[in-house]
Amino acid sequence: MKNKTSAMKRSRELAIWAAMIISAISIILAAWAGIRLSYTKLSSDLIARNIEVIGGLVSAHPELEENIVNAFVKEPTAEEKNIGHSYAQKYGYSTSMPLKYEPIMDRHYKHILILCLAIVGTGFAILILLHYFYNKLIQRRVQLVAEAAERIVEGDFSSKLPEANEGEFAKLTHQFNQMSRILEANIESSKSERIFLKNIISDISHQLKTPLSSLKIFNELLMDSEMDKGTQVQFYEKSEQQLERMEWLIKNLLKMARLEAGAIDLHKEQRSLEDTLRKVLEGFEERLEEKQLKLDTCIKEDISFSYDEEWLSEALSNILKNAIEHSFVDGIVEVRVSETPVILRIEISDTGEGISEEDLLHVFKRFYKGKNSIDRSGTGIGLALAKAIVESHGGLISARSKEGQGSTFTIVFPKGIV
Amino acid sequence: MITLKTENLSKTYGKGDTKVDALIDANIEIKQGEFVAVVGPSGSGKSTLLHLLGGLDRPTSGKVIIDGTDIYSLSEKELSIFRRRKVGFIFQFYNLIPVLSAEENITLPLLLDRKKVDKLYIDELMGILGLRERKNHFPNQLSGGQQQRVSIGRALAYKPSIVFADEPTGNLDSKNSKEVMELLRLSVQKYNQTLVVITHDLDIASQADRIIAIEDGLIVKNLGVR
Repeated sequence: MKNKTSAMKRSRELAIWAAMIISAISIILAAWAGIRLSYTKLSSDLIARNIEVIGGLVSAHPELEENIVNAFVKEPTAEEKNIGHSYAQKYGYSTSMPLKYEPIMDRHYKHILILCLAIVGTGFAILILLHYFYNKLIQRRVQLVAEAAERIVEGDFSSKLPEANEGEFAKLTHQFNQMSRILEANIESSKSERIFLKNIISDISHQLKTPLSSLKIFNELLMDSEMDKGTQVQFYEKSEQQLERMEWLIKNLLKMARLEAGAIDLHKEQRSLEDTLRKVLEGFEERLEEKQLKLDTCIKEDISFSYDEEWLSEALSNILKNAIEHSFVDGIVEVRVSETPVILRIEISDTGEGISEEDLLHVFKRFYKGKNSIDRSGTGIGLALAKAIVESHGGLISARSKEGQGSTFTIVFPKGIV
Repeated sequence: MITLKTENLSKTYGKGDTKVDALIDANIEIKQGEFVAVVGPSGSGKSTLLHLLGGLDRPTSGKVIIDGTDIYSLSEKELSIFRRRKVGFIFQFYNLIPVLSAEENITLPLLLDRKKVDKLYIDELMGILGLRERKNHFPNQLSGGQQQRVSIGRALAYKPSIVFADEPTGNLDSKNSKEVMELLRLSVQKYNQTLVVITHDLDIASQADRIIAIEDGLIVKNLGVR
């Protein structure tokens, strides 16, 4: 239905334009024909009168026949003109006589005047009429947009303006629809953001509650003085672990919140990616040894681009931490950095347990933990934070995995945007 | 927000004994910003589905609704304008115009609409795609990977809400296909566009937010995250 009406509107616009052009042409033609006709009539009237004069004079003076006719068909000499003027003057007949004393001219003047007025009048009338219709058409379109805007103000985004046409109006409606879509998306995302916030609060409280309740129990037990020194130390150590876990969680949640809220200015500087990676890897030496993992690096030298070292290190650490955690003892962790003329790529892979196809879809979601993963110290925040950091650098992060064989995390940065 | 929706979308080729059901009652919903991979064996109806989603073909029955518009209620002419403004296409064999330079190929959709070219955006786009130094080259002076990058640029020039790619890496070696896919994903991520890719490459498919598997015209799997 919608497209039919828009097609009709389009043809109406064309019809008005065509009518304008046709009426303009026919007015010009009518004026030309009318004026030509009037002057032909005028000319024949003048000739008729001359003939009457010739008739009158020749019948009175047949001997002057040739002179009389010649006076009408031949160009007179200057002398003849002067004599004519002075004779005519005597009878009050001169070129400065008012129009109304010349009956032929007077009659034709009236005709031509009426004709011209009629042509100009119809022309104006037609143009005003067409202009009115054209205006009305545009008005209706503006109304359409105004009504659509009103609906959007009322929160109804369902109706779209017809936009699949050529021409400026279609471009306007296209942009209008685009605007409405973006508005709708923003409203929706702020809605889901609210739901997310609700979820995150309950998630955080849940995440904090577990170590907190452990701490409470440890504390109660420690207050019981009957405990021997060895057990006490054990409980202190456990308490410390829980405190560290809470600290890590709170720190990272804060980081993520700040990053996502855009409350962070990245201090981007041109740096050597190799240096940064080596520094990050140094921090993992102990943990790699603990699990007897072999670290295999293949880092292209002299790669430098503009990034915030602290944040990118954080992202890389989180991915490495994840790789090490999910590795089997004796496995290999591989770090590769390569570049092409347009992108640079960091790949971190492990030979660990891998991620199932379904989990892979959710691996970068906050607080998502694999369906089958046994809860280690993981909180489901490290990879989400890594993703947020990489994306804030204009990069892309993705994961590939085969269950039982290991996973590869790839970070890509385009060189074209710095 | 749902940007694309199909309702019982079906396509049949031929009649009587030679009748082939290329697509049967497909019901799909794709959200804004989603990266969707369509997988399936050859002849399973992948391309038919993509062509119907992008308004390149007409369905036998059913509807395709993009941003609230039932695209097959439009006339042929309106549909071509709709395609120009709303969707971007990337094909296996690039389909660039040989007598136009890389930059002209990219801005072609805008020129067709007599729209003012947003120079900053096009420059940024060419920067991401690594084409700044090659903008005055003609397609035959570019490698396959570069040509496909130009066609990505062309698909994104009008800032469409959806980009459709039919085996975008089918004609490229593994090194180039990796790069082209990464650049494609980087660009659509940057401008929050929806990406629908047909692929044989399970590696590409595994990185999608949603995987739609088709066999014999039927959607056998529709696994998504969001």
